[in-house]
Order: sequence, then structure tokens, then C-alpha cells
Amino acid sequence: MTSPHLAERALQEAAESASLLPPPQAAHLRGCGLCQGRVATYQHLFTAAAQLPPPAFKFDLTANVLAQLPRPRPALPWVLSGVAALVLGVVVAFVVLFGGLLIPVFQGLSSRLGAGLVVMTGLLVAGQCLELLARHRRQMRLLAFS
Amino acid sequence: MSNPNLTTSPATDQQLVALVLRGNTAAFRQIVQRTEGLVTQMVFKMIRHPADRPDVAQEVYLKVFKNLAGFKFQSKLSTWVGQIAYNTCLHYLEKKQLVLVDLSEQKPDDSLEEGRSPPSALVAGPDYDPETALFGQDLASILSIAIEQLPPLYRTLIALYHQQELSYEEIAQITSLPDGTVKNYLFRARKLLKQHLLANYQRDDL
Repeated sequence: MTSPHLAERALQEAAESASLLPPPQAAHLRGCGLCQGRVATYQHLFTAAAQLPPPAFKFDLTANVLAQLPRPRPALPWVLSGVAALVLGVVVAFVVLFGGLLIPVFQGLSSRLGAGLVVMTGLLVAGQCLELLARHRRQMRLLAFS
Repeated sequence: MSNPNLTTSPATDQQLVALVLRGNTAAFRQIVQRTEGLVTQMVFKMIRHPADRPDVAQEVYLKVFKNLAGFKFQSKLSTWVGQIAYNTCLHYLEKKQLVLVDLSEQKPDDSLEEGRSPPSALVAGPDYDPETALFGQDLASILSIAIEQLPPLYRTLIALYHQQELSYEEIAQITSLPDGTVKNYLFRARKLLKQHLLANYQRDDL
């Protein structure tokens, strides 16, 4: 036999599947007992590796993971919804009962004071919006892939 | 919270992810159960210290849960979970300043390349019977020991390819290594294993 023995890489390829070898190497393998023995060694190695018992934790990983999951929070908790409804009810009742008295009060306000109130309200709303935005960004950062 | 889809037929990745995002814990249980083998293999192979493995494995799944909304189905869900497991283990190794692959082992061993004679420890004679040689002993235990002596990345590749039966492409996706590098590392890992086994066999035989 004049062709060189199969290199280690070819031996491994042949052990996976003889069809992976180029024809000259496949022909060598068919006629070479030494290379066949080496290929068989790798085949036994691969078989044994595939049959090794898989590692396992001594505890129930699934149960542990599920126990640690953050509890999902409803978008609008019931308590918060109740409080908001109560506050809204009080405001509506106040407006219905004393709305007639409030109109002259606002009519008597100077235009500067009115403008000031509008600006103050605008600032409060803007502040609330910024805080909501910051909270949203914080939550998105938590979701980001680390 | 139960869902009839989960009990009557195996749910697809998309169905499971959609259910989890709607707050279905049973769906996440299925994801964990489907990928537990892969994650456990990777954690055991990459983390040598047994006491650290449970924390790392649980951290993997907490990351999966937190980031599930960002999963875009560009790969199988199990591959994505494997990526998270690999990166989490990698982060652990970096924190502990441990080496994934010893660079000294990356030099190609030319002595085994085409047409050259291998070292005597690897030589199998014409009457060499590998079955007698390797199965005459407790191959599984010798192999386990040999695998343990490999660098973490090699151990992981052997487990992913031969035990989890993943393709080169899937392993490349999980490890973010090029296909060629995966094949090359796997080749070296198997060669080291064979060397260890044959050396071990000869020592016992003498």
C-alpha cells in the first residue's frame, strides 16, 4: 500500500460517516486494516460519549426556577382602581353639588392668576409625564439582554 | 393557570412564548422542561465547581424569563436558551478568571497530520482490536474522567455534539463561534480524548 494512512481529521470524519471521505481516502480505508482499526476506535469513542448518562441536579430545577419567577403584577391593581374610582366619585359629587358656586369664583379671577394656574397645571402634568417615561425606561432596561 | 393547548398537543415555540408573555406559568414550565437537559449539560460542563452550578442554572432561566419578550424567533427557542446558558457560564468563568480554552492547546499537532506517524501511545498495530482494548475496561468511567480533564469549552462541545446531538450550525449559534472553529475545537477535543483513552488503556495493560 503506497497511499499514506489517514490523518486524524479524516479518521474522525470516517468514524462519523465513511461518505464524508474523498474517494482516494475512502479507497485507502477499505484496504487498510490499521486505519480501519483507528476509525473503529473513534466510532467506539463516539458511541460511548453518546451513551454517557446525562448530568442531573439533585433538586427539581423546574420547581426551583418557577418558585423564583417574579410574580406578574396586573397593569392596574384592584386596590388602586378602587381608590381612583373613589377619588373620581368625590370630585364629580363636589362639582355637581358646588359647581354653581365655583363658576363665579373663577369668573372673578384676574387673567394673570388664571394664566398662572394654567402654567402650574401644565408643569405638574409635564412632571408626571416625565416620571412615567422614566419608569417605563427603567422597566425596558430590566428587559434588556445582559 | 392551565391551558388546554399545553395538555392536548405539544405546543410550538411561538405558542409557548406567547402564552408565557400573557402570564402563563405552565407554559414557562414546559420551556424549562424542554431545555433543562441542554442547560444542565452546559452548566455541568462549563462550571467545574459543583456548588456554583445550581445558581448559574437558575440564573439562566431567570434571564430567559426576563428576556423572552425580546426573542425574535431567528433560531429555535432551545438554541436561544442555549445561547443564554453559554453566555451566563462564560460570564461566570470571566468573573472567576477561569480559562475557557487553554491557548497552549490550540497549537495544531502536526505529528498526526496526513501521512506522518503518530506517537507510540496512539499507535494501534495491525492486530489491534479496539473493542477489546476499550470495552475491556469500564469505558464509561474512563471516558467521563477524560472528558473532565478537557478545558471547559471542549467538554461543552463534546456534550453538545455527541450527547445533545446538536448540529455544528446549532453549536455555532449557541457559542457564537464560526462553524469552522467549532469543528476544529471538536476535532481537538476528540483527539485529546482518544489520546487519554489509549494512554490509559496501555498503562493498565502493562
